[in-house]
Amino acid sequence: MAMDLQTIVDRLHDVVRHDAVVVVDTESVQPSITVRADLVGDVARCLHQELGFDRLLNVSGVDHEGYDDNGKGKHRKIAKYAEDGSVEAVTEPATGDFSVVYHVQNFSTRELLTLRARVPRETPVVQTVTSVWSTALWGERETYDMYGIEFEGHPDLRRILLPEDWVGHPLRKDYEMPARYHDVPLEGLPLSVRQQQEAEAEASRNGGDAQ
Amino acid sequence: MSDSNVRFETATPIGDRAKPIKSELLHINMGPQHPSTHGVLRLFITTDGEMVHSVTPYIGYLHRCAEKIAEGNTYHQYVIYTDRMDYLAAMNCNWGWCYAVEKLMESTGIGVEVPEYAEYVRVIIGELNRIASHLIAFGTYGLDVGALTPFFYAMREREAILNIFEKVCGARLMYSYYDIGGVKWDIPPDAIEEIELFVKLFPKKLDEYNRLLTENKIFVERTANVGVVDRDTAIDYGCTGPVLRGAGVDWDLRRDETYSIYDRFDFDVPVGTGAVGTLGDCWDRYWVRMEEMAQSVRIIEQALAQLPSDGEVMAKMPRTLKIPPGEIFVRTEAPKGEMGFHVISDGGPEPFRAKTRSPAFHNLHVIEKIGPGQMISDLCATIGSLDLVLGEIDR
Repeated sequence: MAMDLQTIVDRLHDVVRHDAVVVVDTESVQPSITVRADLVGDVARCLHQELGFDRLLNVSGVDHEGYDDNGKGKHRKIAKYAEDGSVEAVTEPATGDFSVVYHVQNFSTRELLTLRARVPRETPVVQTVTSVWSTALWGERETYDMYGIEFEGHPDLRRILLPEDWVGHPLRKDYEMPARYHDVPLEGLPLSVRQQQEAEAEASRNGGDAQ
Repeated sequence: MSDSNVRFETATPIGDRAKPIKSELLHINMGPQHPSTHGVLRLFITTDGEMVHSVTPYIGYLHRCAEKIAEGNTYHQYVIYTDRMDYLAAMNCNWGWCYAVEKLMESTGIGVEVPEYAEYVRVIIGELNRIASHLIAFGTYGLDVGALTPFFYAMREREAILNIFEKVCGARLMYSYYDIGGVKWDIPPDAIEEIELFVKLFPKKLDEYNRLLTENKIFVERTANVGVVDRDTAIDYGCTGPVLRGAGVDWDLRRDETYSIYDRFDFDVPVGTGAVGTLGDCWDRYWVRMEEMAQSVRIIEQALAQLPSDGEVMAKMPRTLKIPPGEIFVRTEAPKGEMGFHVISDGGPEPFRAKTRSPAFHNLHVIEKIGPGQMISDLCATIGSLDLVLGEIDR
């Protein structure tokens, strides 16, 4: 019936690459594996074709900024794989990384698996899984829209919920809302700032007319 | 082919008037304001005459940054934002969120025991809202394919449900009735009586609907063999709920990954069979919803029979809910499909991340696959059969 997480990891190491899986988390309620960001697509193909995970339920982005800084979230023991494939027990690295979380399911055995890819904030690039599960076509677009994570090989990586000329990626923890969008002042800024911006805009318009 | 089907070739070019006819695809914006799109959905379609060549949905007109808002509000405060997702089944959205947070609390060691009485109340109210949501789907689907009457019938019965909800929680659309740890208030006794009356009368109404629309020849002609979502496509595109079941997949979270107290009830999971056409066509999806209403009535009847005479409606909760670091992805079976919440806590009073996996978002996506090759009027029938709620798609 349900496959052991270690069996899945071994299979992935055999088929994809010996160091494809970076972190195995068996202590959480929902077991997860973290894989190399540049191998997510290959791992997904193996999961789908060889291990029967035919259903992608959800694609979710996470901005880890501020999560690990206060020491919370570090209390779990997580096995980590070294370069040569051997196991060494360490904790998760603490940086303001992004991660992309895929929740997949094997429809015949009903087994759930959480697949993660963690990418540095400076170069957020993840291999796409769109050729494996079509659900990801929109899921990855949403993650791109909200976090600015690029999906390498995605056939149509556009914004999905926000307008195409929107600036910034709102679900980043360091996101700041633009003051205006197409000359429309946006709510959310302090009233004094908005009034000042309004006054400046008004002044520039009047000045333009006078000339 | 008989002689009566001979085509008249009136446009045959004669002599040097012969010129190749120049033709190109027509680009049309269907929506954002279009009667068949059920909200502010824009479909960018290219057509060759009446035939659709490609469909590209543009969504986000109703985007209200719910996930960003979640990161600035406490777990309790976010309940009211889940109302605004699937506003036709707000109870089920509330339930999804509350259930996810309860699961997260349980997994991080601060267990919460939802009282048994509250679980029964949740099931009764949740199933009533499923009926209300499917009634809208049924009524508006009739409108989409040209039958005006069923809509009024559907709204009449939905009104009865909304009156019950008004007695239960005071609101008619945005309930916020479920809360983390239970429900906010007890059901008043007269509302229980009304629910009993409703489940007694409703099966007769269902028969009426079936005579009116389900077996209607024009309706069957409009929906059979139209917009076929086969099993593999449904799974590949992440379709859930009636769209998945309409494609012949026997899958219902209430039964297969049972949550709350659904294991105590005896109910069937209707699955599309291709009774009037191809398996997975619009009629199958419609029929699954009609059957689900009957099954919801069954569940409510059993829940009312088992309902304890009295009990707590709310678990003992900490005054300030702070959840230790943890992460969980929990799904519940909402009327539109699997409503999932991916919640991450960091020990603070607000969720660190609260992603919503909305069923209609993925159900809409499949239109890119099944839309091309249809007539425009069939595209309208297909959109209606997916039962979209844009509040949930855009969040």
